Amino acid sequence: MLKKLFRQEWKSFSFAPMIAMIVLAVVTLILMSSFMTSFWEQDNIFVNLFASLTFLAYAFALAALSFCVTLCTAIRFYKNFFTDEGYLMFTLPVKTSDLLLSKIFVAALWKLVSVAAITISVLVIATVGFSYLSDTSVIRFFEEFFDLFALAIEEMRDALAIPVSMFFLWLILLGICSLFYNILFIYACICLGQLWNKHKIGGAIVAYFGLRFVLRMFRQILSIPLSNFYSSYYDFDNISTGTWLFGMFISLLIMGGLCVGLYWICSYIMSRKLNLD
Amino acid sequence: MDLSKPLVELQGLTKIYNGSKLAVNRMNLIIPRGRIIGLLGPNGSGKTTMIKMINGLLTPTSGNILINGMPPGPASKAVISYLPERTYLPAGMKVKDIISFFAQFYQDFSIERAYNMLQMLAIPPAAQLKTLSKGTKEKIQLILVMSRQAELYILDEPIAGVDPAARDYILHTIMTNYNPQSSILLSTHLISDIEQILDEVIFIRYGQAIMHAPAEAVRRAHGKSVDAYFREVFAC
Repeated sequence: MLKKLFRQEWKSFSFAPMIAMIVLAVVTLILMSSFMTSFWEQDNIFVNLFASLTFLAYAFALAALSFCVTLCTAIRFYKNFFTDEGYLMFTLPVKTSDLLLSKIFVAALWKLVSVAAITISVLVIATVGFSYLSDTSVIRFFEEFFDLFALAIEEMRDALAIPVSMFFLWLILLGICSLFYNILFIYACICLGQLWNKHKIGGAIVAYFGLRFVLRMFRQILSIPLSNFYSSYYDFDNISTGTWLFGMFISLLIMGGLCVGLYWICSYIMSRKLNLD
Repeated sequence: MDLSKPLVELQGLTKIYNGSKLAVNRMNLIIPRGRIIGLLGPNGSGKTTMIKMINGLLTPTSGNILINGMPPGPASKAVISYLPERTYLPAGMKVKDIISFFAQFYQDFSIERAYNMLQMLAIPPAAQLKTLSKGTKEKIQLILVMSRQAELYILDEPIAGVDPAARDYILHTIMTNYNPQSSILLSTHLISDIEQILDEVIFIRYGQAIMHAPAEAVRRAHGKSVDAYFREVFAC
């Protein structure tokens, strides 16, 4: 059933982010092609105005895609579960966990797709823009980019008391946890808002600020054992392997724990406290 | 299907809204198999609240609900076909999409029957749901519900707010599409329109079932129609 729900959710979720992605692709293409021609070299008011507008549109398209995915994550969850559509979803012969997981996975996947699309777009514009401004070829740009990257890895290898691969693995795991944390945070706020008798959207907004405050305090308290790690964060040479591993483990544990906690809030309210109007 | 257990059993079911408003009050009720039962009561008597709890859309304050001996969950939802009083169809879908949605999730759903009913009502399968009138959407919901071979059909106010011709069609649809081994729980306060199809009636007042009897027995005992008796019991 999870697969069917996932497929259904993917179809319903994708419309708005897909449009935002197409808009970003079009604006990227316009900007890219104008860099690749002698367009900018003309000196008149229209070119200058077009340049300003194109860059503005590009910045807007980048922000819009990210914002659109976040907005769809919240709206789809609320509309599909807590408005009239909830009558359809909660009478399906599926487990509450399947309903919840299908939403989480689709939102996470779209977030990853949007991050990938934004990264590719920025890389393309940076590459083409750099080669236009510095009058070097795209190949040369990549050569310089990879040289810098290799240098950074080398520096990290010297500075870190742990293998670089382990550091990147930690970053990836932390990124995955953060991805799910951000989605679950939105869902938990919407679910908590449902506990209000009236003004449930208002309740969700109050829950957003309340939960943010509580979780910040919680993370602050839990990160006390990490103080040693964080205090010497910029002094890589003095961090021992043990401190690195401890810090990495604790930070993952906190993020993972928060994800589990937020998932539990959603699951509990949706299965034990559901009260559709 | 475990025939030894009642189809639905409510044990001391209570629902209190906002900490003070008692909607369903320690209700005890058994819904048998193979019957068409009218759930009758004035507005605000607790019919919809009770139905929503059976369908798992509301959490009871106390008491138990057993469907085939089990609490509401995926197994009970697989055997109940529920028509709510409101329109729940997602606006972005087409008629054919919602039919394939139901076919995917309900094993007892008949696509053929759904398309037959759509054809009879001249509803185009390619139509966008958001372009259809409220009445047409209600008919589509009824088609979706009656295209299943469920053990229990729960129809909440299926004839409220529709014109008399549509009312006749709805009742005809219910009667011609339901499986006689199943039960239908039909909630309404428009009794005269449905009285002829009811096997049993449940009168609800202030969140309690004050009477559960065969419709014919009510008519015989009181020498009047169920509708007339209802007006007498619930006279303001």
